[in-house]
Amino acid sequence: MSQGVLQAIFEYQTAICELTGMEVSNASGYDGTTVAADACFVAKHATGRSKIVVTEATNPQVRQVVKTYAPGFGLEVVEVPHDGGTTDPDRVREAAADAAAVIFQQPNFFGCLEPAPDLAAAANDAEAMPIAHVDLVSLGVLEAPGVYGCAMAIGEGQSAGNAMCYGGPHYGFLAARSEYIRRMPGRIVGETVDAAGERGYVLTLQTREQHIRREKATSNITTNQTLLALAGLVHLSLLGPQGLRELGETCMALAGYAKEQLRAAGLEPVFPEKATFKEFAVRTGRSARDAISAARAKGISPGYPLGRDYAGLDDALLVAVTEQRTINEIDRLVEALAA
Amino acid sequence: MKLIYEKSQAGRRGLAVPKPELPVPEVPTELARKEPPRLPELAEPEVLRHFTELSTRNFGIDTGFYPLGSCTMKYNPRINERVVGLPGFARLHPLVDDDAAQGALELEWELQEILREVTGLDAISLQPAAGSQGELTGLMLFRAYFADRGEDEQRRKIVIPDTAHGTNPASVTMAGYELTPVKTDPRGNIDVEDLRGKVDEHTAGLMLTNPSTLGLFDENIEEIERIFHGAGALMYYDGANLNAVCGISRPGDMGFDVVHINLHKTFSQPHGGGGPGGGPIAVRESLEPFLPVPVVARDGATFRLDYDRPKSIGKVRAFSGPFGVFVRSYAFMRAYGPGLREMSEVAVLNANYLLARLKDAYDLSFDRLCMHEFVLSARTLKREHGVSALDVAKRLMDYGFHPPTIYFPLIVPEALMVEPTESEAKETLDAFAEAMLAIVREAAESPELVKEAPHDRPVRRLDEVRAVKTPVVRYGFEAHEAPHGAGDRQLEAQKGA
Repeated sequence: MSQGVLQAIFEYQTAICELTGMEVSNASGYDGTTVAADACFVAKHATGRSKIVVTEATNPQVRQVVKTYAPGFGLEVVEVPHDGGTTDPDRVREAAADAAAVIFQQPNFFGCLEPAPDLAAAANDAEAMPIAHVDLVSLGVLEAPGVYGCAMAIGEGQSAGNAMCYGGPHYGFLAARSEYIRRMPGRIVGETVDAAGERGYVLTLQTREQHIRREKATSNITTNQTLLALAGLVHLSLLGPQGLRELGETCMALAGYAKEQLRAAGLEPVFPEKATFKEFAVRTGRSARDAISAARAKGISPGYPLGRDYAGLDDALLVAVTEQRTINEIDRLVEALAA
Repeated sequence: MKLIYEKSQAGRRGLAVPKPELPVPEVPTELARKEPPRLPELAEPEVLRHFTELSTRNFGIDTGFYPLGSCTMKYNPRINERVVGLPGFARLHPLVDDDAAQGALELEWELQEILREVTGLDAISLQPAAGSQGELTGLMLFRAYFADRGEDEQRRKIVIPDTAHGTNPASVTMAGYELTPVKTDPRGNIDVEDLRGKVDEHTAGLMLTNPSTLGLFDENIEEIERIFHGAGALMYYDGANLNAVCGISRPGDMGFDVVHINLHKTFSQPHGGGGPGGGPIAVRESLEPFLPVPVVARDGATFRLDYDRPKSIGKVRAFSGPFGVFVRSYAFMRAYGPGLREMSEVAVLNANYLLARLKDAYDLSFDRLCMHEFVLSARTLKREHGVSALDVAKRLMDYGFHPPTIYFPLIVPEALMVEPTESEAKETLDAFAEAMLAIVREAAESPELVKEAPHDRPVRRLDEVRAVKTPVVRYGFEAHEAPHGAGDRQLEAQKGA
């Protein structure tokens, strides 16, 4: 009755595995924040440890959701501060002692490229599971977490194929190395054969799930985000590997242009030494909220005030530039932000 | 049917990306991608045809009758898709300032008001992404409430009847609680005597679906309320079956302190593939301070997201919730208006009509008026003809119907759980009843016909054991294709050209 959607999810799982370099993906989680909590649950049971390390440069909403779930899971959450916009692997190594997992974001919330392979190695040294929170559209140009030693890769899928829609519904992806397959939360589609020997697809490994396993389940998730994940698959299928790479390059080119033009107009990058992908932080020379109000009066919504989540960054604005923007629009942004 | 990866041709693509004449900054070598992901390479019409063909290999609510018990597969009005696609909704960034999102916030606030009325409770969080997340959030509120009163250490147990959805016990574990199961009595209600001995000062609360997963309204709900509140415990209402009672009875009036509403079920949302959902929760005033942030607040004529809530449990999802789900459900509710009661009445009527037509041909554990769904049993068919609930379900496919939910609830052997919803006309219900009756005759006359069903679906019965023993959960490029690299070389050649 549902071979069409089951095959589509199988194809989605394959795409997520290809992008992240992982061996198994579930059929989707609610969004990019809840998959982080799911990953903590996997890590707790896989390692028998009860501490989660998360970098401060990880999206604040992801950190908040992990902290909300943690008491129920019996987990303690420790944050590693950033050091000039990225995370110091030595501080991660120190914090990761006795930890179940280390969660970091690549690119991080400031848009900066973390030394991701070193962070993963630091976690692995402490036998904590490295978990990378990644941006799907960056994975045509940035290395796959599976290649640099991560145990799991998670993230928000909205930017690949779904409307912003004031925050949802979107989908979160969660992928892991195959050794964790029986601890994965949520639905997984598997390939099999029918009574006539023809290929077909089923929901598999359901003894992990709540309707069979009840209080011993790996998660309570039932309704997921299939329709949104399907949209993600369609988008990725249209892009293909070359399109995804170009998409990443276009984001980088436009964001690089915006950064340079803003700098020329007197708005210095907050972390000038760091490589970035499609987002970057700039000093506005005044309260970022004032800068936003002034720009909005000129018809531009220029970015996110980092002071909302980070002490000492009240003048900092996080700017995002994607392939949806034009050079002309960026020039208007610069004009609107120049004091 | 081929997988999209098997249709892939190196170098082909379906989408052109804008390429501004700007330098592309270098990615540090150690962070740069070495091997491209093997995404499909197809032209746009090929992608379109692939997914169109996949859509024909599904049975959805638009294909036919879909009485999947507990899932409330009702019709999804097309106007809702038009509304949610309006650019002012679809293209609204979730982090814009509140004054740039007044329309969206007003919609959320009005949805909250409607949900307060439907549930009979005081305050709403729209944040949970689905019913099961609503459950978990509700239990987190229990913990916060008791912690605030210094009773969190003492109250560790949650009581759940044996008929409950599996999500309930799973949520209990995720919230760090312990499970206390309670039995069902011969009329299909919670066994109140069993309950009495299990509720004490260590009990945090109850999780109950009412009507239950048997499709029965618990006749002792007032007594149950006295037992829990008398012990200082709280009551959680699993709103999975709210479609039975809208405008008729309210969980808040029954005494429940926290309720989740499955927007995707009761208030329509295309969720046949598995999602998306929406699981807002409604709470009594005493639990309101602990709700997740943000909550939508109103100051006179303007609306805002309120994050300044010091006792909040935090966040369970990004932003304010699955907004697109809210838009569809709000449109659905407004189309009904005060007539929402009629929706539930027709859902209950349809279920009772089908039950009356089928109850003599199948076994029925609890012979009562049902609510929006009912649970039959195929135990006699199984005993006399070796035909199981699974066989009945598969044979229904041959008759052009989606099967009901089977083997749930667990306390009914060979269970067939049927939920017709209010969307269906009498002729559809009759056709389904005729098919169910025909299958009973077939089971006696030619059981193999039923046991080997389905006969005309895209696939026959699938080998689920093989799928578990040797899990294949992604396409095996290496096993299926010419050596990887041929395509890459072609790509390189193209780039060079």
